[in-house]
Amino acid sequence: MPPAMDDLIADFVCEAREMLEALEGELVEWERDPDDRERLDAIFRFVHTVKGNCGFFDFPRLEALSHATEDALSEVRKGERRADSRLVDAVLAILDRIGEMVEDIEAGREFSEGDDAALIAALVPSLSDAVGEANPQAARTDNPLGEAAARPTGQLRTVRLPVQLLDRVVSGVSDMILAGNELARQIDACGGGSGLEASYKRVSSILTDLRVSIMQARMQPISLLFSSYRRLVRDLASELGKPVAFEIESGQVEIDREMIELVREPLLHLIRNAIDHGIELAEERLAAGKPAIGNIRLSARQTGNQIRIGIADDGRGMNADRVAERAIAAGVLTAEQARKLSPEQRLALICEPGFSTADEVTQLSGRGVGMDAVRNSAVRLGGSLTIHSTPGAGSRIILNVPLTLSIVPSITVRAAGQVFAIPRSYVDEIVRPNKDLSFHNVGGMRHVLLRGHEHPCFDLAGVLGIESEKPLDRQTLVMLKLISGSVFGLGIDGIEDHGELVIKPVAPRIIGTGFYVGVAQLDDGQAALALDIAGVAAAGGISSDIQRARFAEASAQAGEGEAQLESAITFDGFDKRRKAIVTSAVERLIEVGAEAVSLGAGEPQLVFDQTLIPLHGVDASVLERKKVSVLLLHDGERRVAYAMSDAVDTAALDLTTATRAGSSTVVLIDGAPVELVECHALFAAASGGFDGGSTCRLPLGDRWCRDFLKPLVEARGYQVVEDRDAPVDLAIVVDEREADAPAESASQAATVLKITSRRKRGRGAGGSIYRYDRDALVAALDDAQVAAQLGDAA
Amino acid sequence: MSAPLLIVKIAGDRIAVPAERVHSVIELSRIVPVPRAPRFIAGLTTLRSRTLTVIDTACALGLPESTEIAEFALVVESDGCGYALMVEAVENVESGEPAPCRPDVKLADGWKRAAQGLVETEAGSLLVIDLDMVIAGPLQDQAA
Repeated sequence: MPPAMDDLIADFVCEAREMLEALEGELVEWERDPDDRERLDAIFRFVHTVKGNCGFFDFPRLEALSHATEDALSEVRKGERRADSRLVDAVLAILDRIGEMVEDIEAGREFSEGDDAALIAALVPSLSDAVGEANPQAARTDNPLGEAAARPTGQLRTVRLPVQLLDRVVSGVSDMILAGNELARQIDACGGGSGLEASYKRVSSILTDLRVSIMQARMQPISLLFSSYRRLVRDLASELGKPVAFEIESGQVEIDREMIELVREPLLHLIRNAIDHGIELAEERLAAGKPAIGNIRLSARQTGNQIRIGIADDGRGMNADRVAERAIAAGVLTAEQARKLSPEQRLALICEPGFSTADEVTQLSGRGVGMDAVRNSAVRLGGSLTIHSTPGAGSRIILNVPLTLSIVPSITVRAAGQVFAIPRSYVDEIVRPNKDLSFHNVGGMRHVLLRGHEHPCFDLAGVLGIESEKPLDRQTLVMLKLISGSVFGLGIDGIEDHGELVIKPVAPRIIGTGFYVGVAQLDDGQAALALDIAGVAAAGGISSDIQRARFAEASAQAGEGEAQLESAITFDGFDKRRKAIVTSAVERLIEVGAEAVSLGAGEPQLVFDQTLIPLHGVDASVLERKKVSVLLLHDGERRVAYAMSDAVDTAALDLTTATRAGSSTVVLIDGAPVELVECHALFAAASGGFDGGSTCRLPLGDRWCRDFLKPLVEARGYQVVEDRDAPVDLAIVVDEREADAPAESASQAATVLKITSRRKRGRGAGGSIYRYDRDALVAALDDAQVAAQLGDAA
Repeated sequence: MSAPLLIVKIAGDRIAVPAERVHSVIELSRIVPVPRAPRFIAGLTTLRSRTLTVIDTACALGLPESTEIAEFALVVESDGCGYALMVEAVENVESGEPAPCRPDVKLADGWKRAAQGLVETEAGSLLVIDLDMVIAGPLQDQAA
């Protein structure tokens, strides 16, 4: 066969396969609504295309199949026949056969054996199917493609690429990024002045962009995945004799190709469960006052970096109490524990390993059978699973998964000389080792006391069975928050780095250990295992929702016995003095790179979450460090940061010992004096002047006023008003011009401030102020504000 | 049907493996261990941007430890994951057709499970092994 012919066949195979995939869903929809002309046309177009190509390529069997189907469908199109389930079954069977043949063609195999004649015979209508044989329209010959043949125009131009090629490009880009990092290290090693840095930066920013675009190219509409279940629902529903309507709502949601493959199985399981156990038989439904046809709805929404996939059915639902009873019977938990769970937590018990018992397994699936596997895979992917159900009304299961697996913001940690990656989404805070941390043994587990809460903690190396460099009490603790909400400390030898890592799947036998989700490659080309936090936690003795209820109970009891002391965090400041801050003001403890700190003119600032917040407690020595630990304080409105030079601990604060010493307050903690950081003063400073709500009008048409003066006016607590007629507390007139002055003096301004560009100190003619006499300007602005407030009060 | 076979040295024995399965042969440098993994998984290594799971071939087959150090590895793909199977030496490529094992040839326990057949070469009969059995690891681990 000439090479050109090969290309044509490859094109045909590709087109046929795509059309087939798109058709899967259409067919079932069409069966539901046989008069849906558009769907019929789509199916017709496919068989017509296949028929046309077969003749050309000489595939007689394929031609006979498509020809017969085309004939049958064309009768339907002409209104000579109705599409009933028998016809749909027959057409489905033929499309399956065509699909197999297309695969054979691609693989260059002979067609597999099969009785095409039986398939074709199934297309022939039984007598009762014929409608109006005397249909006068029947004789009409028309263009077999009709208006449907017109392809939609004005679409985006697209090309078709083999997926493997795309994957190769992705891995090529990853290679380039790694090679780029290597280059960066060598440029660094050469020292400055080589002139390569700028070029390297350019290359690396292009690479970053390239990676983003190529990742986008791998996105696929989730509707493709969803439609692939239509057939399953249809087949399963007819097998079980439960009529089911299947609704899909996916909008424009797109998801990484890799992720599609990973959620395919769990979703399949959930849909199977819904039909098998959720939806009742038609007669039961009618008896319960529901429509005979059950409804299953598959939906997808994108929120940020997550995709929420919902599977809702209107079946019999689940009774949370029954689930709990069964869980108790199966020994998953004790009745005591079950009593403390919320209804939602009880439903979640169906995901506990060991919940389902063999006698519940039907030929298809048991409710609960494999639910632990479904939840585990959701969690492994960095997602979650939640279950809602109303007995008698149906269930709704939500599967949350990240948009892509490929790039995960992570921190890398060191344990026993080895580097591991932890997804940043789990990290609550990082606690540096210090002698003041207090550890206790509670219930056979080591606990660390942080801000008044006991958190279980254990050594990562110990759980992994490797030798740690330091004992737990001297390790850095990464506080990790599990999906269930419980927080535990993971002891490590140190933090290596943080950044975005490309996490790749690793051998099943390694995943099977339950400790890892995949593997990442670090900048130096070394492999780092990505930890399965849920698995590590379980191995460390911390697990599942039930445990959490136990902890919650324990801490509630502990809380009752405690005296109502204020709790505080103590630390060493940059001035080497021991300080304390009340815990309630602390939002969190973070570690930032020194580059996030700005010591420029004015107050020190910290870049956090893309905003600037005032930073206290630092001096110039901060620039000598690579990283700074910072307490983020929050008063409900604003944030202020306070830098620590060392050590964190918590202490109970007895405010009766507080003494004012000069400008600061000192309290006694464990008999030693500690400077109490006054949050009020910090926030007062951050809030600038008073927000007196005073209004000011200035000629915004003037560039100097807009760019130079307006910020100053606003910084003094004024609100700038544009409306020329609104009453204001202060009106500013620049270089008093005939046109402005009478208007302003006549307007409803309590005070008029005149500014001149003539250089003069103090108030000049007519009380005008030189525009760069900053002190006088500020004084005038503040005076007017005080006057306005006095006026308000009067 | 005659297929190319790669002759390698595993646990001191010369063994043939189907050459078409082997993407490349690498020299093992740094191996990152995988704590808690089955013993036959020696660790991870990287080949450009790919991470390979390094398999201690002798251990996977349940053979006694060899005195020779396995410093090379065969890069093999299975189920979308890359593996590096440790071998002590890579000799040459021969072509031959594996024949069923003859009753007069006695195999040590470890080799039995992975044996695909025997192939006659100039240097005598060589055992041909199934690489997927190596990747699957020893039996007792599978049950666990």
